[in-house]
Amino acid sequence: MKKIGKSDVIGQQGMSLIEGIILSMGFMFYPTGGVEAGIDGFIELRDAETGEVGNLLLQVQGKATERERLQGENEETFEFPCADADIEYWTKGTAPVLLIVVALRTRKAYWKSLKEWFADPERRKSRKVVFDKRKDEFTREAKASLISVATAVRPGASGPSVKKSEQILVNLLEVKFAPRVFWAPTSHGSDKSFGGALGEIVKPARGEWIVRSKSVLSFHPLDEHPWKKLCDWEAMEEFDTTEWANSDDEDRQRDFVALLNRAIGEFVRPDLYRDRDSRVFFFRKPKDKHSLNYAYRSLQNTTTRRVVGPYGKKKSDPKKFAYWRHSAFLHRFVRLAGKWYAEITPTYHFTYNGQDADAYAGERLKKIKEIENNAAVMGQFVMWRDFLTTHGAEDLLTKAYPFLSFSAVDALELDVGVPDDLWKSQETDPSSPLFEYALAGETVENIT
Amino acid sequence: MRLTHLTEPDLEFGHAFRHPDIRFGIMDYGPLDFGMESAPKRIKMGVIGSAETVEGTARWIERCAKGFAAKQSRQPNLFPPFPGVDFETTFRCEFVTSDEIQRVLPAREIARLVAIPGQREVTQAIVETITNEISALAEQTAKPDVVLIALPVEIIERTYNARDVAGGEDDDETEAGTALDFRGMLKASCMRLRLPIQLLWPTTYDPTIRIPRKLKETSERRTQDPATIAWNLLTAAYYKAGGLPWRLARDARQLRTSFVGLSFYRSVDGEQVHTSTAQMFDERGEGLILRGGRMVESEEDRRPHLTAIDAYELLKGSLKVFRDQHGHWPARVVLHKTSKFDRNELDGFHKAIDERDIDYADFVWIQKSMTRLYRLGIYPPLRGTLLRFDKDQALLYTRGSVDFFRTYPGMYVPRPLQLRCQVQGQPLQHVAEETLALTKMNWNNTQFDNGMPITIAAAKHVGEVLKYVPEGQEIAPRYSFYM
Repeated sequence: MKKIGKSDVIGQQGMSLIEGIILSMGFMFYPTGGVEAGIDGFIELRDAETGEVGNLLLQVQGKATERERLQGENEETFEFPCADADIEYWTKGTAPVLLIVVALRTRKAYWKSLKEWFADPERRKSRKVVFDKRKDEFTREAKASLISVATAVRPGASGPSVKKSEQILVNLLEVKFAPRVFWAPTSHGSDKSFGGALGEIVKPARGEWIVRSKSVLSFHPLDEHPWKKLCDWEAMEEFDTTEWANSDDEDRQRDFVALLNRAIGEFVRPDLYRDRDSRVFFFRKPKDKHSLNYAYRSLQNTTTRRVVGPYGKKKSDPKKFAYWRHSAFLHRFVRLAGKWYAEITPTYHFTYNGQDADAYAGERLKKIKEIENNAAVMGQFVMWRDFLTTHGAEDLLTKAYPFLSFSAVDALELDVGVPDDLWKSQETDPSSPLFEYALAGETVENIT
Repeated sequence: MRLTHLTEPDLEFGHAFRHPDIRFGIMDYGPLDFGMESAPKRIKMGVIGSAETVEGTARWIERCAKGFAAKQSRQPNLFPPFPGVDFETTFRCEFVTSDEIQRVLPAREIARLVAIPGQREVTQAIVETITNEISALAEQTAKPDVVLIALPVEIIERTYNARDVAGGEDDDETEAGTALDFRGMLKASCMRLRLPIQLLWPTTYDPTIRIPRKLKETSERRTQDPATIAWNLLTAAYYKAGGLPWRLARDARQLRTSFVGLSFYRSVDGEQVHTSTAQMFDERGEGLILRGGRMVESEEDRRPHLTAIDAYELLKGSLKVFRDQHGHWPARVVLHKTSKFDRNELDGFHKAIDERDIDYADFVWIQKSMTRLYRLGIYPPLRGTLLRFDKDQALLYTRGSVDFFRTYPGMYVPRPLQLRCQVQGQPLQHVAEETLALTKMNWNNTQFDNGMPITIAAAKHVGEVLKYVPEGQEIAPRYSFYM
C-alpha cells in the first residue's frame, strides 16, 4: 500500500493557511516545489488596487505544528530554535527570509523576518527566534510590515502603498446662529462709546452687538430694554440673519464675523477668559485651587484632562510655582462651500500667577509646540469640540444660549493610512518626544 | 467636503528615467542633463574664507568624491548614503577646487572687520570685503563655476543676528522683512559679477565646531549627517554651475504652461513695496526673474496689491521671456500668489493673457492654513492629503507623513496649504497635483517634501535679495543668484 506521511499533510495544511493569508493581502504566493533547501515559497508584492507587481520578493520558510503548546511558550511569547547552518543560509542570501510558524490547533500563524532578527549578535548566539504572540501574528494586518521588509532590501524602492482606511478629524465645527438680527440707528460712533453707555445702564452688559457707521447691529431686539435707550428703536429693522451670513459683500461678511466673535465671547462664559493680546480663550484658574481638571467624552470614553496647572519652580523661591499653563484655543469663523464653520486651533495660555500673562509665554509656547505631536493636538481638539458642542446647552438651571451653537463635523474617511506602530518601531530615535503619545496634552491619569 | 490622497509626483532624471525621490533618482539615473552636451563635466569650486575654513572646505570637497556612509538608522530612504561623485556615480561629473580659485582672508583682516562697531556697519564692511574677493575670482581667466563662501565663526557671530538662518517652520509665510540680512546683501552685492555663490558654515565639514548659542534663540544648530549635507550642498552647486539636476515628470499631452510666482518685498528704506516674480518654464525651473512694479494698498483688504497697469506689464514681461526662450507663447498660464487677487490685478493679468490669445489660465491664491486635519494616531496626515471644500477651494498637505520615508520628517504639527482658484482653467484636482509637484522643485534641498511650491518659495527668495539691489541696476535673470 502506498502512503503519504502525516507530517507531509501537516506541512501542507500550514502552507495552505499561509497562502490564504498572503492572497488576502493582495500579494502572490509561489510555492517552491522541486528541490529546495528549506525555502517553501516566495511572496511577490503586488499593488492590490492596480495589480502592479515590481519584482519585490520575500522568501518563506514555513513550519506547521499540531502541538498543543509551542516551544518555550508562555502568555506572551514562544521560541523557535534554529540550526547554525539554517541561520547562515537565511542571513546570507539576497532576499529577506520570513520564518512563519503555523499552530494548526489554533489556526494561527506567526512570522519573523530572519535577517533582521539575527542581525543582533546576541540573538545569533542564542540561535533562537522568539516570537511575540501578539505583535508577530501573521494576519492580513501584517501587510504594511511585509512591504517594509521587502523594500528595506534596496533603499529607494517604494512598495505598494498601504491601503488602510482611516478616519480623520477636521478642526472645524459647524456654526448655527440666531435666525434674526436687528438693526437701528444710534448716536454712538464706535463700539467703545456704545459699550460705555451700555455699561452705565446694565451690569454686566451683554456683548452681542456691533456698531458700524452710526448704527447698531445686534442679535438682541433693539426695541427692548436696555437697547432702546441707546438707539433710535422706532427706526429698528429686523432681518433674516442669512442676509449677512450669505452675502457676497465683503463688508457685510466682515460685520457678520464681528458679530459672531462678540457672541462667542458671551457663549463661553463663565468658564473661559479671553486674553486681549493673543486673543485666545482659556480656562481660568479656580480661586481656591492650583489646578483645574475638565471631564469630557473623548473618542472612546469619558476622560479627564488637566486644563489649568502649575509648572516649574521659581528660582528665587523654589517652593513657589514658576508659572501656570492654561489650555486655550484660537478660533476663526470661516465660510466654506456656503456653510459657516468655527475653525478651532488648540493652544495654551501662560500666566505667572494663574491670572496675568507670563513674561516668558512666547518661549514656553514655542517649546511645547515643538514637542507636541498630532495625537496630542488631536486630543485637545476633541476636548474643545466637546466643550463647545455641549456648553451652553439647556439644563434644569439654565436655558440654552440663544444666539450661537456649535455641532461636530463627521469624521472624514481616507482610503490610505499610516501604520503608526510600524513606523514608530523604525524611528532612529523612538524616544523622541515627537512620538510620545499625547505627551504635551496630558490627561490627568498620566500626570506623575 | 471630500477627502482624497494624491500620490507622490514623479521627477525626471537622466535619460528620462523617473523616480519620486530626488536622491535615489540621481543615484540610479544621474541628473536630468546627464548625457547632454550642456551638462557640467567638471565643476570648479572657488572658496573664500579664513585660512582655516578654506582648508577645511577644500578637504571636504575632496572627501565628497569618495562619498559618505548613510546615517545609522532604520530609515534608509530618509537617510541614504552619499555614494560620492565621479563620472559614474550621482552627478556624473567632478567637483574640484585648487589654490588658484581659493582666496584666503588674512586673520588680521578678519579681526579688523569683526571689530567694527554697529550691526549695519560691520555687515556692510564684511559684504564689501567678500564681494571684492569674489570680484577678483571673477576676473581670472580660469574662473570658478560657483564660489563657496566658507564663513569663519567670528564672521558668523557678527552677521547672523536675530535672523533664523536654518529656516523655521513658518519661514515661508512672512514677506521678506526689512531686517538687515547679510545673506541678501551679499547676494545682491555680487550679483553683477555673475558668479553664483553658496554660503557655508564650518559645521559643514566639521560637526564638532561649536557656534555660540546667542546666534539663535533656540538651542544649538542641529547639524545634519554628512551624507545629507553633501547631497544638499552639491545639488545646489550643480544647479548653480549650470546643471539641471531634475525636473517635473509631465505628460507630453499637457499644455505648455508658464508658472509664475508672485511675492511682495519691502525696499530697504522700508517704504516702498515691490513685487518680485519668479518664473518656471518647461517644468525645469529654468525661469527668469523679473522685478515688478510697486504695490498699492488695496481698500478691499488693506494688503499689498498691484495696480492694473503694473499687473499687466508684469505678466506681459513674463510672457515675453517665455516666448524668447521657447519661440512661442505658452498655451496656459498659472499664477501663484500668497494673497488674494484683487479686481485691479485680475483686470491687468487678464488683459495680458487676452492680448496673446491664451485660453487657459489659473490664478491660484496659496497660503498656509490654520484649518487642519488630525489623524487618530501619532503621525500627522500624509503629504498629498487633499480636502476639497468646493470646486475652487481646497486644503492640501504638502508637509506631512511620507510613505516613502516611513515617517514625518519634521517638527511641529504641520499646516496644510489653502488653495483658492480665483480664475480656474483646470479642475481643482489638477491644480492641486501640480502644486504638490512644484514643491519638489527646490534645488537647495534634496528632501522632496518642501512646504511651498517653488513658484512662491523662489519669488520670496528673489525678494530677499532684490530689496538690496538698487533700482535701475540690471538684475541677474537666473534663480541661481538668489537661492
